[in-house]
Amino acid sequence: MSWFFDLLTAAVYSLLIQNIIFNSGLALSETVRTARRPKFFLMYGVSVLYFSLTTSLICSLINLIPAVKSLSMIWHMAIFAVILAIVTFATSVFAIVVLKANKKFMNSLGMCAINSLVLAIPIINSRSALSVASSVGSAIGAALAFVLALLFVNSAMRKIASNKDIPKSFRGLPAVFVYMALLALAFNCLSGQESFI
Amino acid sequence: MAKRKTKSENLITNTDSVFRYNLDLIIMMLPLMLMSIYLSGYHIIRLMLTAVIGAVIAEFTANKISKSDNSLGDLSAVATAMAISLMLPASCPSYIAAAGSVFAIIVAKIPFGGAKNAPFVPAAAGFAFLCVCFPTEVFTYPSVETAFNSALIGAEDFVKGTSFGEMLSYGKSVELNSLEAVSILGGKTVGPVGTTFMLVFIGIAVYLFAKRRKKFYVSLAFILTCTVMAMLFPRVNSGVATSVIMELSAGTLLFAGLILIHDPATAPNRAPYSVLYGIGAGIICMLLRYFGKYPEGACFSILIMNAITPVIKDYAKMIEKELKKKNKAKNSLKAEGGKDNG
Amino acid sequence: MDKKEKVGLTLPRMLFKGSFVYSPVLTQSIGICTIVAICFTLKISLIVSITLTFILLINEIMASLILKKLSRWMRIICYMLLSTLLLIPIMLILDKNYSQLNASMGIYLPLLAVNSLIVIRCEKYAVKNNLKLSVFDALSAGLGYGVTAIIVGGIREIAAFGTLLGKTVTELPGYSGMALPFGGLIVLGFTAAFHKWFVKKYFSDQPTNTFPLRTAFETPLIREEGLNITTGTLSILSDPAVTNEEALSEKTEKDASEKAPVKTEENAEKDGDNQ
Repeated sequence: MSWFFDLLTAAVYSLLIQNIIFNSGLALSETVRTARRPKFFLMYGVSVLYFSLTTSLICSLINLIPAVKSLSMIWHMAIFAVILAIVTFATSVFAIVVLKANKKFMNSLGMCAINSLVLAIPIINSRSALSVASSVGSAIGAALAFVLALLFVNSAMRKIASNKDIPKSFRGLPAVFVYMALLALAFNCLSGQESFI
Repeated sequence: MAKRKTKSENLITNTDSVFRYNLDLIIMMLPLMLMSIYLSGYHIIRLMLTAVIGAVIAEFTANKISKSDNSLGDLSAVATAMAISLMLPASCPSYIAAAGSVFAIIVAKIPFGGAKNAPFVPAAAGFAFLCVCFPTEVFTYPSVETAFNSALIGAEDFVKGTSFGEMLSYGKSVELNSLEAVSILGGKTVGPVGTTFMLVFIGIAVYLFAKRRKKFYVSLAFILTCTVMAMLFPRVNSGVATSVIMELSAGTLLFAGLILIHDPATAPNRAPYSVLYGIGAGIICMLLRYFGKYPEGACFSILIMNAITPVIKDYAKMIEKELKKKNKAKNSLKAEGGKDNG
Repeated sequence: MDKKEKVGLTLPRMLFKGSFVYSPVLTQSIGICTIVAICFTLKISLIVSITLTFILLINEIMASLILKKLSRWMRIICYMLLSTLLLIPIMLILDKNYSQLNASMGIYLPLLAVNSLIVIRCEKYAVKNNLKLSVFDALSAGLGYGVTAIIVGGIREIAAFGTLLGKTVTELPGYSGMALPFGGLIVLGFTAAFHKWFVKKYFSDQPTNTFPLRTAFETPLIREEGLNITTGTLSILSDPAVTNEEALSEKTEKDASEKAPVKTEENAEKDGDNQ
């Protein structure tokens, strides 16, 4: 059962101790732009979870091959990007042929696949030399962190949009950035100044 | 015809209530300042002066640049600066106090339109900024013997003291005899310059209970939750009482719980939600003490609760709306069914 | 002659406007992850912005020439693979010459391959416009990203370390928190506020509500004039002046072709007079 604890530890690490979005600054633009459309939160969350999970699993299995493990980060990145491309292609073909998805769904699926998190997690896992179970846990934690960030930023946008006293230069996006800065400051309590990247 | 409140009247009542709240905070912090002068000498005056001057200049300049009304009259800048300076050690350089209060005003208050709209408590945000930027200067306290007019950190004759926070993180406990109890109550322990005086905090709690009952419940929930967590998960082995007393008198927990947590712009006002807010903040504060990077968790826990509260509010409202819609649909179906039958 | 002058006049103006007024980072929140995470020194900002502009340019050229024939989900995969292909030699060169810098950038340089700037710009403009306009859009977006990265990087380097490009500028104590993501977001927020004020004061005809937050309240998407919220992406190509210039240049061609027979008739008359 140690793999379960590895998974849980890695997920908690990704989600809280070094929050992948606010402490490491990954996928921030996707968070801000997606947080504007709460209708798609569930769909985006599930898609990002699916892509990061499958990519992370396949990449960590391939990383077990000694020849691949000894390569430098550049070649790891290239291999993982190719794996992500194959996974996206396979998923899209499956969605079109079997699920008979419409154009809108395919567009959203594509945007989820190219989320920075989905390519970042395998690279982080290989740099930290995590086991397969920890890699999967890290991917789950990252997807959860993304959904959590969406919720936080959406509430921030609602609060800022209903606030009439904000100075004119700060209305809209600047106030959202400053709010996210304070959120990131709050998340620094668990990570301090260290960064594993 | 009902008399509609004019815009200027609304503004006056808003600013007036903010002014009165900040005046209460300043009154609560004055005895802490006086005790600190008695025990640590001139340091609190130096820190408070630089912090207040920095905050006032920052707010004045920001108001001039954004061409809005002068908001110095609601005393929020002064209260924020005083709170930040009371949480720093006596050996802290002055520029750090000024930097923290300037950050609190310029980043946590001005971009959101002032004290009554700030989504995060400015003093907590300023102190958190200082924790992240200057962890050594903010968490190194002078020893008890050299506390009065102690040297600044980095000077040759600076003597470092071991605070309760540090002892708790190593699992070392202190013997709770009467001498120790007197020094804890009187504040002659190693810690921040304005937060070690337990007796004064009891007085502050009484003042809060008398003047602002609803805010008192938030503080009480926070402190009781921290006490329960210290009882259930002690970090020292010498009994529950020692654990509770050490945890409560270490660092800024009581200060943040009695003075910072019940900010009217962020903490809920109504009874069950304010208590839940206090409980949540208490749990997060103790968890940060156990697992966090810094010895202090109170200010960060306030920031985290400020971030979580709008999310819970929005989704509670949404769920309420959905339930109302469903009930309405049910009722209309029943009514139609009744009509058909009749 | 007329057309050449018009292009010479519009290109610098377009680049300035496209990079500053329609900044993708400050008005649309595209590509902020790299700026916030690693652009805490000026040198890194320069490297990142040059790399990203190069990748964006090649991607937009390929998108407007070849990739527009594929369906959208296949195009996205192609952008990712093409960017990865372009990044491999760049990273090898950087690893050889600036290995310390490369190490401090960590995983963020490879992640430029999936930067949202590339996908959004290519999808919104490159596949719908011809080659010349796509090149302009790529250059203006890259320049806009670069200007923002340099400003943010410079401010953060001075605030956190007191240096600029490695040389000490001030002896004041540095705030090491500014090198963290929250410092980047603060500087970005204040830069965006300054940008908003500046655009409102000196370019008052531009739309200022470039990132409407109304949709966060789960209402149906509303169409606002001049800004398509469903796509929600401004670029120099959506500037009415640019599209008018293009129409203008077509008009001058037409005028020139219409004027030509009149001129020959005049010349014939003159010749006739001379003779």
